[in-house]
Amino acid sequence: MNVATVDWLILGGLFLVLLGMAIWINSKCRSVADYLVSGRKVRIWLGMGAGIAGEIGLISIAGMCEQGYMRGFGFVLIATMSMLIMTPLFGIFGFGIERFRASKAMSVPQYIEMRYDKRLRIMSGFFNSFAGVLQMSIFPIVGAGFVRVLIGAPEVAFSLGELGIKSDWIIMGILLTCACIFTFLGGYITLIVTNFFQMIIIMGAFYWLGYNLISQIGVQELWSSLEREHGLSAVYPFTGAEGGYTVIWFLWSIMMGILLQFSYGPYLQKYASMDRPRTASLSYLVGSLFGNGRTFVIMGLGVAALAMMGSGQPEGLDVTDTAWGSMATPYFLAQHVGPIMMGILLASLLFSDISTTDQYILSWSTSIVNDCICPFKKTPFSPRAHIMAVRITIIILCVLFFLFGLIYTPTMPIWEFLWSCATVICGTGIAMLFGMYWRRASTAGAYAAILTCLILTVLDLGARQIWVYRGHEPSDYYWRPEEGAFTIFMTAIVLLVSISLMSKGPTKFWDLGKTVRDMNKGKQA
Amino acid sequence: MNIGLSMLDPCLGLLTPFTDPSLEFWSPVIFWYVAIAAILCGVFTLVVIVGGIFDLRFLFKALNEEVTDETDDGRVSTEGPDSSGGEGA
Repeated sequence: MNVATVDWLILGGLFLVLLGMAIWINSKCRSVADYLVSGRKVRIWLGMGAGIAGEIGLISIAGMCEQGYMRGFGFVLIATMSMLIMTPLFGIFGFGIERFRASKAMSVPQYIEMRYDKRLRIMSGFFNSFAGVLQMSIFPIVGAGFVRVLIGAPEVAFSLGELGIKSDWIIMGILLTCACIFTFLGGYITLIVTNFFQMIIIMGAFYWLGYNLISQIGVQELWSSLEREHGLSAVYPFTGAEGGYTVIWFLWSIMMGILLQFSYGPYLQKYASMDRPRTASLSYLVGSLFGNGRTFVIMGLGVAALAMMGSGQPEGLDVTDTAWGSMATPYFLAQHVGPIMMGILLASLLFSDISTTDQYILSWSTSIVNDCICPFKKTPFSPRAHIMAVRITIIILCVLFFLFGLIYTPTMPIWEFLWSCATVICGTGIAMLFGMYWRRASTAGAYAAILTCLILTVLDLGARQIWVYRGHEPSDYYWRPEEGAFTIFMTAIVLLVSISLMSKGPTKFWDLGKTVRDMNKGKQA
Repeated sequence: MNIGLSMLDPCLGLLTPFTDPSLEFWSPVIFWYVAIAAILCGVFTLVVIVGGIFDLRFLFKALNEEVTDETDDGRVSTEGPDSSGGEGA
């Protein structure tokens, strides 16, 4: 393995410090609101610091490095164009996110019950949690694969009789256990505080690593290699190349980005924990303005791998091109990162996994307990029992993720899988968006939007699987995944609007804009 | 008419990098954009760290002084979210 004793000591020492902190913070947690949304007392800088760590998961690091290695900085222009739309919308106008915070809901389905009805809350809670958990289930195993290549561990660690125990499984078990411990202790309070300190370690490690690699390679060589290997597509995404980005892809990604801000549990739980609605939008504004730089630094590691190794596989390796794309950067880092820095890099990867996994696990556990269990109880849980129910759910989810990782074999591209799950969740986003801003949005219309996104996504996914099963190439299918998802969103919106216009009777719309203004002026807590 | 069209020329010229993209144009643009964004993000991270430490102090103080509300656990009261503001379509 490429890890020296000093690296293990650095990793273990940093972990123990944060663990001690988590145990101490646990004593500060006194109510359900403390455990689930930090008592709604998170201010802007702390929220942003913790948010940075929460956004850089091990799977996104693996994805960004892969993107940098395979496509250079082609994605930069898309990220910037997307920022030009999303930042004013959410960061300046606080579209939706300020209203959500003002509703004092802890989860998306809770707002759905306030605005529509209880049965819709249970339904959306169930579908969102299921899609979210399914989406998240590949995080640990994909992250474990990245770490295994980095530390140079063998594919099979040891054998038990005829069963080979894979190193990926052991790493996955360690990652999940760490995330489970941090989430279990103190809930969102622990998560916010430890994520903040984890952010310092993660950012410090990546900047230090980036600086060292650039010193070794040289800026000129780095950029020239990038141009030589990828040409124009290294810096410009719309080159019209096969499988490249299209206008529909861009429209779909913007639409999904907007709808997820209204429906993705982990995002909204973060907004729910902020002290004021304005804090939620400000943290989005500043975070998105500076967040791109962070992405570029991580993508730069993949570009550095490209500059040093070229786009071909080294001799002695025999993996598919797709697999090589994802393992190239950790393979390169394993060769070029020395002792001490390797320890800090490992710690930062461990913490990036913990900070994302614990935020997501807590969010989906909250939704399962609050939206799928509590509505069926005649008498509410006591605060202690409520927190215990969330903790038990956290453990069950971790065990499920581990079992999923044991049997996981990729049969479709990772991003396609993640997008399909997100399309299901976006149905709730459409119901939320119209519910907040359109007085006439009715419960029947909201049902239609949520069910449309669920049913059409499952049909689309099923049809694609049958297409592949019959021996066709996935890329030869009648439409691309993003075209399918874009059509599903438009259908759901048309159905919600037309059914709402046909519905009669009052809706439970209330003006959250006024509440937002009052809360921002400090008239309400 | 001709004057109107000639005034549009500079605007149409701005689209040229997209209609006729070239490595000579996009490579330095993206290089400087990435470099500046990465440096600004590093500086910004330092600001977040300093600000976050102050916010941590506020969080712990507020949690110690907090009066807990046992009903604030995710349930929706039957009276509705805002009885004064709720109204029909």
